[in-house]
Amino acid sequence: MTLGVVCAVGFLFAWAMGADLRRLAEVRFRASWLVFIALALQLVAFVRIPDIGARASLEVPLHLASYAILILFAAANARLRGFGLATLGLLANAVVIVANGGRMPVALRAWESTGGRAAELLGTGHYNNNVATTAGTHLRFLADVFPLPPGLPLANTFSLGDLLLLAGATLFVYCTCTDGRDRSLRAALRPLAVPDFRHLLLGRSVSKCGDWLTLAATITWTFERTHSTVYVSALLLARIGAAIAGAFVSAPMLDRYPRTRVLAVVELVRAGCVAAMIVVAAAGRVTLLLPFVFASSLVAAATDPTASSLVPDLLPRSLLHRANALHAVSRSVVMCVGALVGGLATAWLGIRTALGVDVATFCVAVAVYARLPRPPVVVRRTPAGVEPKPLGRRDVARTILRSRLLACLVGSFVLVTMAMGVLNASLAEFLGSVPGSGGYGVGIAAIAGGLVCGEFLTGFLREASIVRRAPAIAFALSAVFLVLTSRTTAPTTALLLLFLLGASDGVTETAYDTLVQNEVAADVRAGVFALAGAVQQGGMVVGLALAPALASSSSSAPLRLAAVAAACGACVAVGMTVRGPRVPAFLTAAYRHVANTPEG
Amino acid sequence: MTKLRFARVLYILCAVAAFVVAAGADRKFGW
Repeated sequence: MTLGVVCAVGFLFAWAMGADLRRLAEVRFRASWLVFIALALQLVAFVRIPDIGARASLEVPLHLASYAILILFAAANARLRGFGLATLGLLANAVVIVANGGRMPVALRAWESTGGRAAELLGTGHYNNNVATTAGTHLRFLADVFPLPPGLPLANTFSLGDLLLLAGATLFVYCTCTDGRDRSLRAALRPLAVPDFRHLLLGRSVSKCGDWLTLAATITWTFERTHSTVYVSALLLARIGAAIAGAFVSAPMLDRYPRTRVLAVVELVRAGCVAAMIVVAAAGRVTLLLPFVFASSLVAAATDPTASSLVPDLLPRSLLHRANALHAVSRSVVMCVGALVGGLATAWLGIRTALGVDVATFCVAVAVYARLPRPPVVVRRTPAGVEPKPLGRRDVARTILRSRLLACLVGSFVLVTMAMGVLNASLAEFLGSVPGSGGYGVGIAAIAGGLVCGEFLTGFLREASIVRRAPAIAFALSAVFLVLTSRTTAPTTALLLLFLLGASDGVTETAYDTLVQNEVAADVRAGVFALAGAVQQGGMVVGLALAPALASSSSSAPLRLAAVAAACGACVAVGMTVRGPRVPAFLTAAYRHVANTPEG
Repeated sequence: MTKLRFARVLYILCAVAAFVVAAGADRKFGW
């Protein structure tokens, strides 16, 4: 029955993401009565009603017959858009049930963790349509392996097929009830047809790869030389401190210069910093590495805001959101590849070669950025008769505070970034308390996998109103996933929830870029990205600082706090979607909304 | 929305939910 409830939640989710459920009236299922016959067969087989329930010997044949009927229904309706994923889930369940004698295997531990009594399952070896997993169980990964946390109403154990069914049903309703134009993979990849955007992605990817390579190389080398966590912490603090300081300092300056030139100059400066690191590493001076790490991160803080604000200059507005999705996916994929390659390169080739490769990546990025067109310098417009003044940090802050959308967006992201900081700092200890989860590395990999999926999927959202709504929905879901994670004791469920958490985070990251680009005028866009980023990084630092104090009470306490912060973030993000009182006039003085074009 | 159209929407939602419940092999009859 849990599936029915979660399925209804899936319909609600599709509706919240813009599905017009009235369109379902136009769906024409073929032989829909087959579904109800299959369900009736299962009820006859398993529901215990005197004189009506079937004999035990008929349970398996009836169960298998119900699946045969469901497969017939799925085949008859395979033409329907979005139904394929649900069919895949049906087949996954059917295969594992047939392979295991007509019942779905479930691990005894998972059974007990959802409130089932071992005697129920072990007495006859099965309970209704479940059978206990044994050494002889086939296709165990398709069995019921995702128990919901204990104590939840209707707690139950899901299989991979169940998850596909739920995702498929939601997707089917969403696809049926929204405009189907331009929802193909080709449409999602359409921004790649614009050469300038391709060059930007290539330059960013190469540069970011070098960035991760430097991080992995310097941390690995520092630890090898010192065997001290203090040095490693100092290195990481230098990076994050420099990123915040760099974004804060550069915020009013970025929009004064052509964005492509800013990107190229930053890469050149960073190449110089890393070249200096090679000299320092050759001398074996660990402490001297810190200033160069700081300097490199300081200038690097200008890259993300500049690149995010350059995207609207290169593409028509209709492609903007999809381009942001691809931009975000490239960043996340490069993060995984760069960190891996950096670690391996340092181990095999030594730090000097790894850093040499890094210098080369920065030079390649400069060459790629040189091929981008140089957009005109954005000139600030001022009212007639007023002397034009260069953009100040206060102007940037006022731009954020003046707009309800930006104030709510940045405020919600600060709260959720703090939640992510708490999660990041406490994940290792929490996963250590969940045996078999694989620890911190596997948890981060699950989040990263979800992040890439979420970032890519959000590229299929086209309507601006839905993009505006997406952060509030995704943050609310993040809060739910964090609460469930804090209560779970099963490694499979913990990793699944972390994957889903990453996916909802990916949706918000992409929506963030699109919303800021659409809301902010070109003459202050990079500044807004930079200042908002600095404030968010501050939230991350607060989260990292809070986690140890919370973790002293229990390993799941930080996750509960993160859930509360994410829920607060969702509430703040709701402010973007509702009408309400305007921001006080004193905050809006001296701000004028300028057209969102490169020319200002 | 007419009553007929509303009924049609409800029927499709019920059919999809029934498909998920029947195809999902969770411990749905143990309560």
